[in-house]
Amino acid sequence: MSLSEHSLVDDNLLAQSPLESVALSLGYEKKTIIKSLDLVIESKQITVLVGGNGCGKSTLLKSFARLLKPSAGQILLNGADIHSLSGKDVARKLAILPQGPVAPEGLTVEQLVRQGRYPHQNWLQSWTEEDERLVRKALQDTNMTEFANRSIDALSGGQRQRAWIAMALAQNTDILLLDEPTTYLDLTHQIEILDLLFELNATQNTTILMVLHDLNLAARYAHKMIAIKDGTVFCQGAPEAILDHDMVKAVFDMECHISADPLFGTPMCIPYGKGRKLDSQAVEHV
Amino acid sequence: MSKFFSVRYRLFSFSTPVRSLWSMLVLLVFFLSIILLSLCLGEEFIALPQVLQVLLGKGGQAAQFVVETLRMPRVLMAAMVGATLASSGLVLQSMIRNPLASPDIIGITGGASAAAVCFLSFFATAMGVIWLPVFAIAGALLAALLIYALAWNSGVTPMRLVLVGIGISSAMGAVTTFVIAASPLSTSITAYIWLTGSVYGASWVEVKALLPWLLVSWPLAFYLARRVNTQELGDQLATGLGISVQRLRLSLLFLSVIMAAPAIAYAGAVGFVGLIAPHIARRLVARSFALLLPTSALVGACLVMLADLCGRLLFQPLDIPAGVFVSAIGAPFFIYLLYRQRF
Repeated sequence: MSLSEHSLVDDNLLAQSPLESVALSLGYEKKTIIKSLDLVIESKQITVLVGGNGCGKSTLLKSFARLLKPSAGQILLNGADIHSLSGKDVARKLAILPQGPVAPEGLTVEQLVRQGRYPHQNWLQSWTEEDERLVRKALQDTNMTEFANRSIDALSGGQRQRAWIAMALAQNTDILLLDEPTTYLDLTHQIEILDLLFELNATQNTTILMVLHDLNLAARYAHKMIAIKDGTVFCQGAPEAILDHDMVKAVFDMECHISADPLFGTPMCIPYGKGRKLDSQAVEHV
Repeated sequence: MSKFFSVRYRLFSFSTPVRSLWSMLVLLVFFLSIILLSLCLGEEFIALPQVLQVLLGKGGQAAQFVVETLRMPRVLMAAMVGATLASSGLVLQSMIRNPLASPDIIGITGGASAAAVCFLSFFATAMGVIWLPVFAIAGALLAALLIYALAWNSGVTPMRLVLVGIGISSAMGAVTTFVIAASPLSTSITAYIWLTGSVYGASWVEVKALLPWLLVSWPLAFYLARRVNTQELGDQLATGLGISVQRLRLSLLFLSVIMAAPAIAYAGAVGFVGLIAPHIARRLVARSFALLLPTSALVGACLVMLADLCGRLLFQPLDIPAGVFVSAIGAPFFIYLLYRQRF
């Protein structure tokens, strides 16, 4: 026991966080959104950012992907200031899938996925066997091989999102950032996408950081949950450790009841409010 | 999986869809046939065998003169003008991710026209007409710079570029109309014909003047091709894939100017090619900039050559400016394409 504990400490000392923010401040024009934030994203884990609309979680995610320049502070990618690296350097280590991406009209799935190889190519080496192999693998991992020649416009919402994820996978990075990857998808496809990401993390140790709106799904899939409120971290930790009535009340300004998910045992948030109430289901009032 | 044609040799590799290569080959054959047809037809018909003989340097003197001195430079000029305007339109459409862009819509042609008309009215007699291209190119560059500067708002978004461009375009239109209205009639007529766009009386001098621009702009376009593809996925994804979007956007605007401006300078403001040629190209080949570029160029070249051929033949002995027929053939064809797309 003591031995394993010891090695765990050593690991933590050695394992550098792949992505962290140091005294990070973010804002658009004169409006400050994030103020002096220190945040560490754990290696090889799924981290989920949750919070109300406009709390700054998407902005934070964008800055972690080098899409937004901090007004102060730094983002460190494997210990190096992300803005001191070239765009291609960053893109070989970190992939970002923004919210609601739109493909050019008529682009096929395979053409889209091939774009993921951009940071690994130059104008002489525009299509190596490695490129080919990783595109095929990305299509396979996302179950998109049969749709490879379809135009993106002709796909359903779930397939389309899988195509975009396949593109990010073809980028072959250790870190994957996603902004609300399940928005606009029906429940079946939400689970399908999250299962895919869970599998990716489990089999390939990909570090995943994403924004999710559904607290219950976030609690089920996340190793670590970070609750953002008013541009700062309200609390962070394993969902079962932090997701409770007081946290939801503070972060979302909503009364709820927390119980265990009957299938997974992870915390489940049941909001109060109006609605039909059946006699047998007597619930205590607030 | 789809059929891709891939080449790998040591440090070199690329891959492209097979079907697109076939489309381009067919288009190339079509292009070459129009060239030969244009060399045969005219006020005086010269049979194909004779034209071929001239091309091999073995024709009679009269035929040699008609084919090599009169028709050849004009055909090449039409081809180059069409190709560069089409390429410029493609570059702009890719840059702003909107199929409704072309040098004549966002004010590049407008800038060149205004400068050219000012030159014809105020400086032509003093300086000589050979300076017209210089003025036209400078006008186009100036208009592009103005558009970029006015659209700047901690970076340039495609939508702002288009809106500012349309504004600049109509402002330049006003300048052009004013100068024409205020000029003597003879100048106005020259200016008006120039504005329609024509390769009438093109000689080898103009062909040689236009060619170097192509030799610069085309390699640059191919060099940027992969970036352009990625940029079309949106600013955030493109940045995420390692592209500096703002720098690319400025390069593409500049590229579109050095493609369109020289063509406009030597052949006048031929409209519409820049808008429709890329559309037609998209129907022929896969959506990849490196394929669309030569395809659009070939389509544009064919369009202007055909327009010029019609202008030369249909109303003999009148020589109608090619620009008229580009719109006359192009517009109905374009509307037909859009109409067919509904089903």
